Amino acid sequence: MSDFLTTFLPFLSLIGTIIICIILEAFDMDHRIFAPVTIIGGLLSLYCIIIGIDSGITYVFGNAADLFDLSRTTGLFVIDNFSRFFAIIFLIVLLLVSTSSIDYMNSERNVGIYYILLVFATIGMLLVAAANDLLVLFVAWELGSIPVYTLAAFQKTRAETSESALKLFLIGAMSSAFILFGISLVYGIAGTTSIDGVITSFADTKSYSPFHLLALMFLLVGFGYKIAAVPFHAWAVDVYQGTPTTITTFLAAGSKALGFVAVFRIIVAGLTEIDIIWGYLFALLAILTMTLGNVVALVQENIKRMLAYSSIAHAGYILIALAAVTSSPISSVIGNLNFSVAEFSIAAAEMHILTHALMKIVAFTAVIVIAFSIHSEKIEDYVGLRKKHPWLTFGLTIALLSLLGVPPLAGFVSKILLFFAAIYANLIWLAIIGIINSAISIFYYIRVIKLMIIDTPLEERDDVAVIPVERVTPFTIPLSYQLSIGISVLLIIVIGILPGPFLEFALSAAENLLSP
Amino acid sequence: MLTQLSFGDLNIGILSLIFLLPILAAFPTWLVGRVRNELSKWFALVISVVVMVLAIMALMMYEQPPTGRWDLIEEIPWIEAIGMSYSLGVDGLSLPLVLLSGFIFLVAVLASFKEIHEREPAYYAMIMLLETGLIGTFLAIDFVIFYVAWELVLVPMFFLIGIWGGPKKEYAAIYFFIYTHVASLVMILGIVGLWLESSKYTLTGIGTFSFTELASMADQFGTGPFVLLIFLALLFGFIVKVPSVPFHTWLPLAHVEAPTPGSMILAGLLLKMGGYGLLRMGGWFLPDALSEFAWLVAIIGLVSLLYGSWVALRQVDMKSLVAYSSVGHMGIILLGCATQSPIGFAGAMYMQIAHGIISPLMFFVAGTIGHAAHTRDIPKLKGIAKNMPVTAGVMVYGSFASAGLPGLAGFWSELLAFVALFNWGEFGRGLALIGVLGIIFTAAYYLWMLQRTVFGDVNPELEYVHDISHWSQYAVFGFLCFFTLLLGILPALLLDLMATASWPL
Repeated sequence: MSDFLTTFLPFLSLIGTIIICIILEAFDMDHRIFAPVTIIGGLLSLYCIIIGIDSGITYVFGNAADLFDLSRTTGLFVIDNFSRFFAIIFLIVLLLVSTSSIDYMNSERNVGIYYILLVFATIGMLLVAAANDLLVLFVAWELGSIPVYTLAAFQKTRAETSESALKLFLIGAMSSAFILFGISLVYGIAGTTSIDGVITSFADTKSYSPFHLLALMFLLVGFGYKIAAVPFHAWAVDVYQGTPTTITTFLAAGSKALGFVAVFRIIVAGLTEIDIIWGYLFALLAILTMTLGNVVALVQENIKRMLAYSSIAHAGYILIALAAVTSSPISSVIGNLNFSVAEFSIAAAEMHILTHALMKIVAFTAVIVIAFSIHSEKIEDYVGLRKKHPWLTFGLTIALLSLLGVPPLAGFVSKILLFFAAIYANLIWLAIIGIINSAISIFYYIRVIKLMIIDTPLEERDDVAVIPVERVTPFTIPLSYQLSIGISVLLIIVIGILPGPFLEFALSAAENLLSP
Repeated sequence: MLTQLSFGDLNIGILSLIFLLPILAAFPTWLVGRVRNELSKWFALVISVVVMVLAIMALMMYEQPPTGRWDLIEEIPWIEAIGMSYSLGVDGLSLPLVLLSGFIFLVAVLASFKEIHEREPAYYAMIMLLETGLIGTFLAIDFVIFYVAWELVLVPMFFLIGIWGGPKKEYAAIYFFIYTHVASLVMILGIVGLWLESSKYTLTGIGTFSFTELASMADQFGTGPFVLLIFLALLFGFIVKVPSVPFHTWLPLAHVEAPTPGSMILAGLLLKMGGYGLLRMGGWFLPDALSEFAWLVAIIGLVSLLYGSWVALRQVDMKSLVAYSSVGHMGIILLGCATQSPIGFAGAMYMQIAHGIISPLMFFVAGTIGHAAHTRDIPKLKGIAKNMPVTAGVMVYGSFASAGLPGLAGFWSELLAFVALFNWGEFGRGLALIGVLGIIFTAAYYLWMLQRTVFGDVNPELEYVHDISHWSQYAVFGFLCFFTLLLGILPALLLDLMATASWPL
């Protein structure tokens, strides 16, 4: 029974949430009911996952005759610490995004649909993390993506929203096509779609034909779009800027992690024994992605665009870990520690995905509040914000410092783990490039902090004749935003000071992924 | 003598209290300030007194460890996957600096009483955060904790300069932050390099950040090209903080723009972080690399000494003059360190403490005058002694102490450093002969400044100025002057504390 509880209930409670929401929608209930229902469902799911941590590996749907037979050692889905780690990330994102949506979506119509789509996307993401079969993975991938296209177009009266939603949809459809084509090539080569089978069939590098490489390339390109790695990043900035900001949060924190999960499940798990050339490929992607992200972020004037480029840069940092995994043999062990270089690198990447999600939730939620308060998303309009919103400024400052990698915040810990992953894999030069990139990124993060805290507010300056009325109109930050920012800031600080348990969990997740 | 405290299963000891009390007190400081504005400064004062008392208790518990060991050690695993642990400890090099930090923060809080009237709760909270960072840098015996504390200093200092600073505060703050943060990033490259190098010699096969382990393998590091690169990366990180010519440009700007207590902390403690790092690395971890690059360190030190004191001659702003004098004096630390002799190290360590007491004194004088006269420009401050006799008297006293008058603290450090230089072969003797010029310049710019400000007829514009009147200002002057004199008369107090056992050479 407890197996059943920890294996199925996380999904069932989300599905239950959807059903309840649909019924409530059908009866035309007050739209304020949907957010609490979603949050309760998400919390229940999160709770079931958390109590299931370290309860071993369970394969689901391995026996066609008895769907609830969990004793097999293969199946369509695998519930292990890896899938649980990412499920926790996705659920945290769902919970915080739906919390901040309470007020953001207050004046919209069809709020019920909005939450239903959010939960659908989350289920898809959870399933990708648990998929053990390429076709299942693809279906789950689409489930995690298609609701997001709809969500991006949710405020359909705004022209720029429609534009960015269309961009997101076209790019997403194209990347799905790439993935599907890659999967079909893989099936042609391996004769199976089960991930274990594919990995075994791809393990022998000597027997590689051009089709092996082509298949992997297609998959990489398809996932690369979701990650927004350079050169597949061009869509991300416009989309982040144009979509409703809660959905931007969901994209930056959730969808990016979705891309990484798929890369881990298929490519990394399969490639750890493969030629060093993959290591160089990932290293090149990492360098391009982080350098482009950081350099272009320097000149941005719109805060959402700046954060979008910073998000690209952070994808680059995470790719460092992938380069480390693929360029070190799976068996290479670090000293007398009981884990390998590959496990450590994946754990570092997981940690950074987690902390990046939290930091971006704080940053984008703060952007929402500020946009409501001063009616601007321009960085220069953030001047003297501490006067109007001291607490919000504090939260955003913590998030930006953490993105910058200032100890003792979470961003520092995960970044240093990533650099150590590169060092363990003998890619010292990659770590150095990462550190140089951190140095570049100081400029644009510190500029925002300086504007908000140090510069004199417009109200106090003598040389400003006209102060926009919204700068002096009092604005109370709704409780929902306070909650989601507060919880994330707290988590950033806690992970920064006590990373031990989180890293342990990430390491066991990585171990589950690589040696099931 | 006290026995060591320890609480709980993890053996949290007195050093953790010293390290964590200020940061834990930061938020309450702000909170009580929100209730009533002036409460925050009293709260900050109480906390800094408690930290000072705890530091003195640590001194009483301290027993001289053998070379390359630390006392009062606390060690708690933090991120074992990369060999990192939360470890604190003190030895003869760091304990005096911990005491100095407690003392200077106490004085700086007192100095803020009449200086800071704007947004007091946030200000005192920042001071508390800064205290944790600074003390942590000296207490850490693990390179990651060292780096965390080192970086923790930046953020509150950035806000102190940026919010409570002078006219060009925004520029100064951002310049300070970017300059020193980039230097820290280079330093972390060096730290990681050291970790990599150490992995060759550890039993576990992975590297170590632990000072004790690194110190025990110092002889094995040798002078391979990689080790020399590590040395240069760390050296860069440290001399930007010291700061030495040509990386000193952030300092005068930061000093001039920072509020007076901020300047006191900058000069008294922030610069010492660089000196401490340099001595620690040169003496404990990479002695061979230091002998390889001793010429470089010595020349940077000499150039800083000469250039700093030469440029100080031409300064108009009194704070800027004291800032350049700091560049000069910190050069002596590099010279002492470069000689790699116990006497040279003693001189450098003595300079750390002596300068750490005298330069806050001079900055407070400059700040007080600036506060009363609304200008710090030396040419305008003619005849200040008439209306501000106490401040002027302290200024004369501080200038002489800083210039190295025998009987005051500054003298011993210069004496020891130069004795060591003279004993360091031909090269050292040559350096010493040129370096004496720097000492002469130092005396010259102080005397010239005194001549222009203290004596002469009163500038009619300054007829209205009043001398210090608040008890906190008397306390600041009293404390700083007393310790300047004490360390001048009884150098053994300090030299015994950092007795030969802590010198690895």
